Amino acid sequence: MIASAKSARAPTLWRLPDPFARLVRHCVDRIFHGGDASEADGVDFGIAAILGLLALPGVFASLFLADKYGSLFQFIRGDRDFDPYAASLPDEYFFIALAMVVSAVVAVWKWDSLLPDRRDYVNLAPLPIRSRNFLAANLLALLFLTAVLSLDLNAASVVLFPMVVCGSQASFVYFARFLGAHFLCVVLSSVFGFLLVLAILGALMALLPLRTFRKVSMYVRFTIVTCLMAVLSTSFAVPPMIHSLAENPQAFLKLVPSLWFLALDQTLLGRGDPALSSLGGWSVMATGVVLVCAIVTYALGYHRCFSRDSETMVSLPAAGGFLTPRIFAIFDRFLFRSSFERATFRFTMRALIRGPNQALVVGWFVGVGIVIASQSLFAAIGTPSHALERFPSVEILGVPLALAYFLILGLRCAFDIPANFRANWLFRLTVNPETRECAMLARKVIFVFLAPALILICFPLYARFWGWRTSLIHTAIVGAMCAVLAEISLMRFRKIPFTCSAPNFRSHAIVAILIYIVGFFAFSTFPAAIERWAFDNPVRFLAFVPFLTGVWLALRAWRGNLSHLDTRIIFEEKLSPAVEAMNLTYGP
Amino acid sequence: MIALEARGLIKCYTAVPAVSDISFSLNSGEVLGCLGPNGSGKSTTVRMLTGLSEPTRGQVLWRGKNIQDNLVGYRARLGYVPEEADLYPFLSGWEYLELVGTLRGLAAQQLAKKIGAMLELFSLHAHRYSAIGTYSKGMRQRILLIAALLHDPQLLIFDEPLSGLDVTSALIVKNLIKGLGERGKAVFYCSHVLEVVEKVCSHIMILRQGRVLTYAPTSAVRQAFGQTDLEHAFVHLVEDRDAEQSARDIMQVMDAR
Repeated sequence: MIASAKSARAPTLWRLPDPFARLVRHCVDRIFHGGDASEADGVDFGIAAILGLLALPGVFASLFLADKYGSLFQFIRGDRDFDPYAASLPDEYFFIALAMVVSAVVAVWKWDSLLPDRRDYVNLAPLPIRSRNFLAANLLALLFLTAVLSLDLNAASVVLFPMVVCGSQASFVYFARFLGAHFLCVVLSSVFGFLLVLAILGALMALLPLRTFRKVSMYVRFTIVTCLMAVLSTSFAVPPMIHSLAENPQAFLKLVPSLWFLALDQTLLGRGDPALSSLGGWSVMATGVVLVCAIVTYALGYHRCFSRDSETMVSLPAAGGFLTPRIFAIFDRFLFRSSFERATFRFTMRALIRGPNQALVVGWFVGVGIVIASQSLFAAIGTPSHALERFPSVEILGVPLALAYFLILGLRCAFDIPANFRANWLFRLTVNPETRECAMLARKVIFVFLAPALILICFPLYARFWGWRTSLIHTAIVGAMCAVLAEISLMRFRKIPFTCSAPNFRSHAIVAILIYIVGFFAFSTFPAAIERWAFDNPVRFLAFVPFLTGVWLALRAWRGNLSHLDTRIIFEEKLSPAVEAMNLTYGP
Repeated sequence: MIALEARGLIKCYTAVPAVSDISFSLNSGEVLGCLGPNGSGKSTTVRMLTGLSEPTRGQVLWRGKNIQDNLVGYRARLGYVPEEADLYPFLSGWEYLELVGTLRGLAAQQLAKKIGAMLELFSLHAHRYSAIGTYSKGMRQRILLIAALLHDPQLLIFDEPLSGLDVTSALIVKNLIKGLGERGKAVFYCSHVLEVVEKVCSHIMILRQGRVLTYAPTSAVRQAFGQTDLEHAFVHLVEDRDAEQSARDIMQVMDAR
C-alpha cells in the first residue's frame, strides 16, 4: 500500500520536505495558476510556457534593432560617423520602459491571485498553519516570482541588445560594462514595476472596505494599465527631451520613473550628463521604497482579508456595474440582431476580459505588435527627413497594419481557448448547432475591438500630421485589409468563442508560426509599401480594388462549397488518431 | 399522455455497456425518481435523456418523436439541472442567468423581471453581481435551478438537485418539484437521497450496473418488497455487501499503527 502511494506521487523538479517550503511552493503555484476561472479549462499554459511567452517581446525588440546597429547596414547607408553608444540611448530607454510595463502588467493580470482568496480560506484555514507563516510564505513566493519574472522578461534583451549594440566594436570590456549596466537597470525596472502594483493592491486592500475594494478594483486596474501604456509611449518622447533637463532642473520629466533607470544606466556607463546622473540614485531609492511599501501594505492587506474578515471572503455581495449594460444595449441596437448573437457576444466579451488565459494570449499578441510597431516608429522618427514628408513613410503606414495584424491574430487564437470547458454543456443544450452565426459573431467581436482604434486613434493621428484626406484613405485601406484578414482567419471557424476544447496546437506549431511571420509581411509591410507608392499618384489606389474584390469573391465561392457538416457548430476538437485505419476492405 | 419515453437505451463507451436496455415512460404530471448506487448508469441515462449523449442503440422519444430528429425543439422544452455545478466562474449570477435566458430567446424585459424575482426567491439577490467563482456550492446549485426554470419548461430533468443546499432551500425545492408535477410538468429526478425520492416522486426506477432493476409506482415498490420505507427496499435490491461490516472495517484500518 505504502509502495503504491510512493509511486503515485507526481514527479516534481523541486520536492521540498519542509512544510513551510511546501507552503511557499503552493503559494507560487497558486499565484501562477490562481483564479477560479482557470479551473477545468482543459488548457493550462504552465509556468514554462508563460515565462517563454513573456520573454519573447525582448527577443523581437532586440532582433529588430540589428538593422540599426549592423556595421554592414551603416556602410550601405554611408553612415561613417555612427556612434552606437549614443544611438543606443532611446533604445535603452525603450527596454527599461518595456521591462517596467510588462512586469507591472503581469501584476495587474494576476491581481486577483496576489492576495489569498476564498479558495485559500476554505482549503487552508482548517489546517494547522499559523497565520503569520502563511503570510511569510505568500511574501516569499511573491518575492521569488518578482525575481524570476524580472530575470525572465529581460533574459533575451540582456544578451541580445548589448551584442547588437557593441557587435561592431572591438572592446570586450565595454561590451561587458554595457551588458552589466543594461542588466541591472532593466531588472531593477521590472522589480520596480511589479512591486509598485503590489503596493497599490496592498494599500487598497488595507484601506478600503472589502466591498468597495471589489467595486473599484476593475477601475484601478484599468487606470494602472492606461498609465503603463503612457509610460511605454514616453519611449518616443522622452529621449529627445533629455538634454532639456540641464536647462530646466525642475522639469516635469524628472517624475517619469523609467528615466531614473536610464539615468542609472548612463551613470554606470560614465556617459550621463550631470543633470541626468543626479536621477540615477532615485531609481535604487525608489525600488527600495516600493519594496518596503509592498511588504508593509501586503501584510496589512493580508491581515485584513485573510485574518480579520476571513468569514466575509466566503461570499461577499458585489455591486453591479452602471456602464456595462448601457454599452451592451447600444451594441444590441446597432450590431446584434439575434438572441444568439446578443447572448454570445456578452459571454465572449466577459470571457475575454475576465478569463486569464484568454487575456494573456491577446495581451501577448498585442504586446508583440506594440514592440514591432515601436521599432517601425523608431526607424521612421530616427530619419528626420521622413517625419514631415507630404505623405507618411512606409514604416509609418505599416504601424496600424502591424498592430491590427497582431490584434486580429491574438483574438483569433484566444477564441480557440476554452473558458472553463466543462461548463459548455449550457451551450450544447441551448444553441441550435445548425446556426451559421458563429463566424459572424467572431467577426463582430473583432470589429468591436478594431473599429474604435481605427476611428478614434488612427484617423485623428494621421489627420493631425498629414491631413484628413490622407488619413481617410489610409484608415479606409487599413479597415479593408483588416476585414480581409478577419475573413481569412475565420474561414474554418465554427465554434462559439471559448466553448470548444482547444485544438492540438503543438502538432502544427512550427507551420503556424511560419504562416504568421509570412502573413505579417504580406499584411503589413507589403500593403504599406504599395500604399506609399500609390500616394504619389492616387490612380494607383485602384490596384487595391481588384485585389480586395478577388479575395471577397474567392471567399464567397469557398463558403458556397461548404457542406452541412463543415458549418455545424463544434464543441470538441477531434484529435487526429495516432494510427489511422486505412480501411482497405474491398467487396460487398 | 406519455411525455418522455426511453426505448431500449444502450450506451457503450467500451466493450462493456454503461447502460443496457433501459426502458421507461414518463407522463405529464408525473415525477419519476431514478435511484441507483454509484456507477449504476444514472448519469449516462440522464445525458442520453438530455440529448447531450447519443444512445448506442435505442431511442428517447418526446411526445412520440425521436428527440434526435429535432433536438433543438426538444431542448427548448427541457429544463436541466446537472449533477455537477459547472458554471462559468467569471460571470456573475445575474450575467449567467441573463446568458441562459437570452440563449433561450426570452425577451430582455421579461427576462430581467424573472431573473430578479427568482434570485430574490432563492435568496441570491444580494449576491447577484458577485462572480460565480466566489459562490458556495449551494449558491451555484440554486443558480442552476433558476436557470432550469426560467423558460417554464414542459420537461424537467434534475440530477441531484439538492446537492449542497441548506435545509430551507432543500425544503423549497422539494415542494417545488411536487408542485411542478401537479402543474402537469414531466419531471425526471435523479438522486441518492432515498427519503426525498420517496416523498417527492410518484414513480421510481432503480438502476444497478446499467440495468433497470425495478420500475413502478413508489407505493408498489415498497409493497413488493414488504418494507416500510424505501431505504430498506433499496438496500434489499441493490446492496450486495454488509454496510455495518464495511463501517467496522474502515475503523479498523484507522486504528492501524
